[in-house]
Amino acid sequence: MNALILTLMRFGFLALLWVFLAFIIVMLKRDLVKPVTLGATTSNAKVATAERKKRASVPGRITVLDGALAGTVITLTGPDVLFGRAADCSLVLNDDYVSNHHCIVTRLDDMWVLRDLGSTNGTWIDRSRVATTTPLKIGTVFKVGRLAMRVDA
Amino acid sequence: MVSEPLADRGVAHRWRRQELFLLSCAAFIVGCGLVVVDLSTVNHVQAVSIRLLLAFIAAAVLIHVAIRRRARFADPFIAPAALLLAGIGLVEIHRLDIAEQVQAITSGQPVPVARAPLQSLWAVVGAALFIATLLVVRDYRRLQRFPWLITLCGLALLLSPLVPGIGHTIRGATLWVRIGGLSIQPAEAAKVLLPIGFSAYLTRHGRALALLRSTVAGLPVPRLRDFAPLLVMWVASLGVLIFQRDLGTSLLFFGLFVVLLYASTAQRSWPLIGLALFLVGSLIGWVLFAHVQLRVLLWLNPFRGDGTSQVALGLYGIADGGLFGTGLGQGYPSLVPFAESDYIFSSISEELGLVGFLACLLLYAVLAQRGLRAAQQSRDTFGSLLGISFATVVALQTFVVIGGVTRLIPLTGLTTPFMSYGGSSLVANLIIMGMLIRLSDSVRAPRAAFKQAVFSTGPVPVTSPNDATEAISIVGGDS
Repeated sequence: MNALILTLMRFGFLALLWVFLAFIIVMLKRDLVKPVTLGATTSNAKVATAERKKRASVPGRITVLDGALAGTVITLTGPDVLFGRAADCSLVLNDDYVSNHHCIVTRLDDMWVLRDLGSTNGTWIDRSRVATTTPLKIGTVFKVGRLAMRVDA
Repeated sequence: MVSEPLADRGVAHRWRRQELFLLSCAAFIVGCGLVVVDLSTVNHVQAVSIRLLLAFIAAAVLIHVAIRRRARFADPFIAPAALLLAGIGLVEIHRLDIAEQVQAITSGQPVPVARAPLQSLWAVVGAALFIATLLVVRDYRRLQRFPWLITLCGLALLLSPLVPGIGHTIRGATLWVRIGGLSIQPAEAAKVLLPIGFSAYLTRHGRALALLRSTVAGLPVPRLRDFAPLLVMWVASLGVLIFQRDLGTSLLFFGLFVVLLYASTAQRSWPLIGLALFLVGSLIGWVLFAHVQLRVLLWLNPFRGDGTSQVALGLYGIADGGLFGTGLGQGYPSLVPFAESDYIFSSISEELGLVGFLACLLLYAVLAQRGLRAAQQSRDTFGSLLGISFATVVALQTFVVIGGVTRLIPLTGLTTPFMSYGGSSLVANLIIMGMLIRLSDSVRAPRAAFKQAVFSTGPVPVTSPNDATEAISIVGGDS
């Protein structure tokens, strides 16, 4: 074999490997930069973001403060967010004080409201048990069993 | 799935298009590699290379179609990265076949059987088992129902080569089971089962293990009885080391358990305790076994004697490769013993150089990252632990093998995932890939399907607070 062709093949193959890696990394970037969005499809998320820009006072996120999922951010978009221990919940909280279907955050007109779903240990805001539908404001901290969640903008 | 919006279908289509594109690139690279090997060694393209490429493409097509049909929201990067690694391994095994054949012909000995065609056959078998995995495991959460059964099956498989009659010892390590004419490594199957068993166990008991009672020297220490599972794993790992003389496997599973303990409890004392137990275990190994001592001595001083130990020969090869390598087909990787299995990474770095070596290492990083990403996106503990454990199995094996070859740590016998020659290993790794694909499909699928499941009576008409409370209490009454 011609030495020139051998050299071309030698470097060409390495170049191919790195081009492949470059493809993967460029495609991966979109997946890495995009934050974890629970409870929404892409189109809903876009609509919700646009709405949020219009009214900054409407809660947009819930941050989990305690437990194994501490630090998880749930974006409030279209659908309801169901908290509980059952596998079909939006946020599966593996905690002894949480009921299977504990509570739900759902949309009511322009507000996000919190409802307890008859849980054993209750949903709490400031040491009072949530009995009826309660509107969520930015900064509210509510407790699902003993796990605190904060409502953010 | 019937009611999913068009936007979701668009997302799935984009992911599958990306995957198809990357898989085509991988097949092209493998084809180029085979052609380069043939042209630089025998000056013409061999028929066997075309058969190898066709087998590789067949495996890739099977896997891609299966993902499109059964897991269309799955991560689009897992399959291309894994298959390209398998492909590069195939190219290098083919290259080593040629080297052995040339050597046999020049020295007048009978030509040995080529190993690459067998490996490509195993890739197709692995693809079939990948499909079977996707078909059998429709919901990964079901796997957490039998933690003890799965763990015990895994441990039984791991120790099965010790059973007299079917066990088989090759080169001092009792790793093989011979059934009929087929030698298989059951430890590879354990690499699929034990992560599932560990994850299921820690999903149930992780919370109890996170409880810490006392403080020793400023460090919180778990209750004494919480040590039991770790100690059981430690004894099992030592058993593998003592009776099977397999350092790598014993290190892999103990390491995996410690990583999972840390992941499920978030207590920093667990890795430290694990490390301490590991050091004690290593000391026992050192005192009891000559082969452990030999490995460590070769690690500290590979060039002693005539400088022809496996470690030294591998290092010569890597040094010969330099930055850009000798080029495929132009080095002498076959001089190293077991260049196609344990030492495939030294063969790769000899012919592709540091640049190619780093590319392969990054492909492993992509694989591990995608596993961790699925774990991060998972909404339940079991899913997270499962993602972490499979990512750890791939990453830890890669670290132990490459660390051994490059003399960062003592050499231990483990297969390089996806790359090494060996049917059991390739098939097991493709099944692990199937599990990761299933997991990432579940965690990336949009929530529309989930919502339908919760409100099986249809969407809740939210008109007034009272109405809504009534509607929800239908599904919320079981707490």
